[in-house]
Amino acid sequence: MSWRTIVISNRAKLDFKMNYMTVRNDHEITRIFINEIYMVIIESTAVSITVALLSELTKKKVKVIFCNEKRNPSSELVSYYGSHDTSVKYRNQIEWSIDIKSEVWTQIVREKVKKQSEHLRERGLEEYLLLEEYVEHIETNDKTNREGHAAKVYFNALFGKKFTRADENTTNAALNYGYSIILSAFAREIVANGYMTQLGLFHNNMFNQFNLASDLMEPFRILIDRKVVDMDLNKFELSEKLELVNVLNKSIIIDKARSNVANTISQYTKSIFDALNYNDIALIRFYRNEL
Amino acid sequence: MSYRFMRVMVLYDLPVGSSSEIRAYTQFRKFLIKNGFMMMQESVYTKLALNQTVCRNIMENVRKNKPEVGLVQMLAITEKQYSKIEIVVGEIQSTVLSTDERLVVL
Repeated sequence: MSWRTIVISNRAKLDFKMNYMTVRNDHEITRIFINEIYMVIIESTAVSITVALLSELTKKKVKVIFCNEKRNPSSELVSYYGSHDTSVKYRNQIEWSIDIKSEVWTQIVREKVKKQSEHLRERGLEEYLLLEEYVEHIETNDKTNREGHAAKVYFNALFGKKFTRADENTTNAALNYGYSIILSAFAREIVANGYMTQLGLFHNNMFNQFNLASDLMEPFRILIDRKVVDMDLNKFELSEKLELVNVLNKSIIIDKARSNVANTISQYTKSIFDALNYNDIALIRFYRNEL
Repeated sequence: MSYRFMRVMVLYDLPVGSSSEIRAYTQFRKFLIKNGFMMMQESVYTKLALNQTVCRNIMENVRKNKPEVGLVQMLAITEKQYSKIEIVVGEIQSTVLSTDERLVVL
C-alpha cells in the first residue's frame, strides 16, 4: 500500500527509527511512515543515509534512486531477492521460450508505436498516418525494425526535423530524466515480482543491468514524451524534474479502472509475466489514456 | 485501486499504577507508532488509510493488539472531515508527515 514519492533535494541526514524514515534538514525534522513510501529519489549528493534505513527500505521494496552531482539519476538500489520464491522464478525466467519472448516483445513494440501514433494524432500532426501504417507492418520480433523508423518519424514530428535523440539539449535531458524514473519504477516491479532485471526479452546489452525493464517500459515512454512536449523547457531544473517525477501519479486507465501510473505499471508488469509463464499473449494488459 | 483517503483515530486512557500496567501501556503506544499512527495530542493517535478496505484492516489490527484494561476508543472518518478540524488554542506539534500528498520534496 505504498504511494508516496519522496524527493530529497537539500542537504539532509536520513535514518530509521520505529518504522519511520527520519529526514533531518538544517533546522527541521520530518518523519515519514516507511510503509507509505513507494520511491525515494536522493537528488543531492550532500545527503547521508544509514545502512539500517537502506536495508529497511529494501525489505519494504521501496525503490531508492541516487543522483549524481548534476542531479541526474545515476544509480539505484536493487535487492537480491524480491520475493520468497525467487529461485523458482529465476528458473522460469531462464526457461521462457524464444517463441513466447518474441511474441510478447512484438506486442510491446506494436503498442508503443500505436501510442506514439495516438499522441501525434492528438496534437494534429499528419505523421500519425505513417505510424499507423508501421503498426500494420510490424513483423514478429520486429525484424524490419519498424520501431526504429517510427521513433525517427515521431521525434521529428514532435520536436522538428533537426532533432535527434543524441543531441545535448534540454529536451533530451528532460526525456532522459523522465525515462530513467520510469525505468526505475519497472526495475522495482520486476524485482518485487521475484525476477531478474538483467535477462531481457529483446534488449540483451551485456552492459545494461536493466534489460528486462528496458523491454517492458517501452509503451510508457509516451507518458514522458507528452509531459515534455507540454512543458516549456527554457530551463531544466528542480521544478521541471518534479513535474516529470509526478508523471507516476498521473491517472490513467487499465482493465477499465482508473488508477495512477505507478499502480498501472505494477498491474501491467504482472500481466506480462503471466503471458510469459502461461504462453498466452492474450493475458497482457496495456494502459489507456481515456475510456 | 481507488484512493479515498480515510483517517482512523484511536483515543485511549490506560491505567499506569502497577509495573505490568505500565508495560501494557507502553506496548500499546509502541504498537500504534510502529504501525504508522501519529500523535495528535497525548492519548490521541491518528493514521491515514488509503481507502475503506485498508481502514477496516487497520481497525482490525488495533482490536487484535488491544490492552486488557483501560478505555480505548476508535473512530474512522474521511480525510475531508478530518481536514476540517478547528484548532481552537495552541498549535500542532508533530514532525510526522501526515498529509495525503503523493510527491513530497524535502
